Amino acid sequence: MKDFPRTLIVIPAYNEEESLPYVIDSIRAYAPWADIAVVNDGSRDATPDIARSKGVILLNLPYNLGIGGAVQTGYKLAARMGYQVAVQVDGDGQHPASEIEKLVAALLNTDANMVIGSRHIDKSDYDTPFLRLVGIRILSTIVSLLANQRVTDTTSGFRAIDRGALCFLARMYPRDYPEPEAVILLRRQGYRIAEVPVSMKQRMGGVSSISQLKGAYYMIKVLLATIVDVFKDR
Amino acid sequence: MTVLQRIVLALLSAVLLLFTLELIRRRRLREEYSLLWLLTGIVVALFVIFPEVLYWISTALQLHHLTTMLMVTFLFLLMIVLHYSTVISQISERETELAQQVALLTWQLERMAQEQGLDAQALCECKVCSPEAED
Repeated sequence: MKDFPRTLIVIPAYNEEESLPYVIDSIRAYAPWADIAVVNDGSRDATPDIARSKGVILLNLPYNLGIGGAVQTGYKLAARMGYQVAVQVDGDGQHPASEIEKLVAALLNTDANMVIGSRHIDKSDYDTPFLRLVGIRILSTIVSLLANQRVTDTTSGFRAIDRGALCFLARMYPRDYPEPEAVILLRRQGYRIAEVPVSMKQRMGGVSSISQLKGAYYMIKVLLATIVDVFKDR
Repeated sequence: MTVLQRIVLALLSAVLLLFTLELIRRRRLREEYSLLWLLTGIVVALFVIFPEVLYWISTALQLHHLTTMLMVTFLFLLMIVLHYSTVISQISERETELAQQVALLTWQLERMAQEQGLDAQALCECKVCSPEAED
């Protein structure tokens, strides 16, 4: 086995009892060198019990913070416990564990501080609805402009970060729809970002945090947040 | 100002002041946030006692119409609401940090309890103790 850095896999989970066992098992199969932390974001189902019985680190939030607050909790743990790398893997099973090694390798072999697993670099078997594709294109264009770098999949939560980005994001992380914002935040602090193509699956269980109806609202909010970010002082 | 207007304003200020004080007494309103409302009540009371002040201000600001007075009132309320929005934002940020800290510390506590062979989960449960504990 190659030498891997101390890695913490952060799984934000809100009512993911259906898919969580599979997610944890497949991470253990494909990335046995990494530690796993499930951040239970105020679930009402058996999510925390599953994490306990699987013997992974369980961070139990007392109430629902939303994806941003949950992921940041994992980053804080990784920062405090001295992990070199943190990888976010969603609890719904759409991020294939088989690609984790690819993300971490890219983090080590390039000078990037964050590596995003992108659905849109190559053609993958991930079937994106047309309207969402349009939204993703618009968002990607604007985020790329603001970040001064081309980013094809700004909403992908499948990403690996190194210690530098980890320490920064543990202190400051956007809350509601954090993925595009985090890209801009990091870029504006001078961190480097790379993308690698990954194939994602359709989610296994639960519901997407972005329903069709909320799509437009999501777009507007993300755009507003990202544009305002540029003017915020840090 | 007509007598009727003075009576209405006097009642308004009395109700505002009493209500604010009552909210503080019941600990539903923190003193620091009540200052604005107490001040408002006192200013209105001043207008009732010295109506000339109101005339001086309205002539100085050239507010001769009821609608302009309403605008001023509206702007004042707008500022209060904006102030509260900033307070809420600050609170929600702190609340997030607090929740995260609770999650992280709970995990550490569970880990340490496990090392010492204690019932980690029971230690960390967020239940309030019931008087009829079974032991």
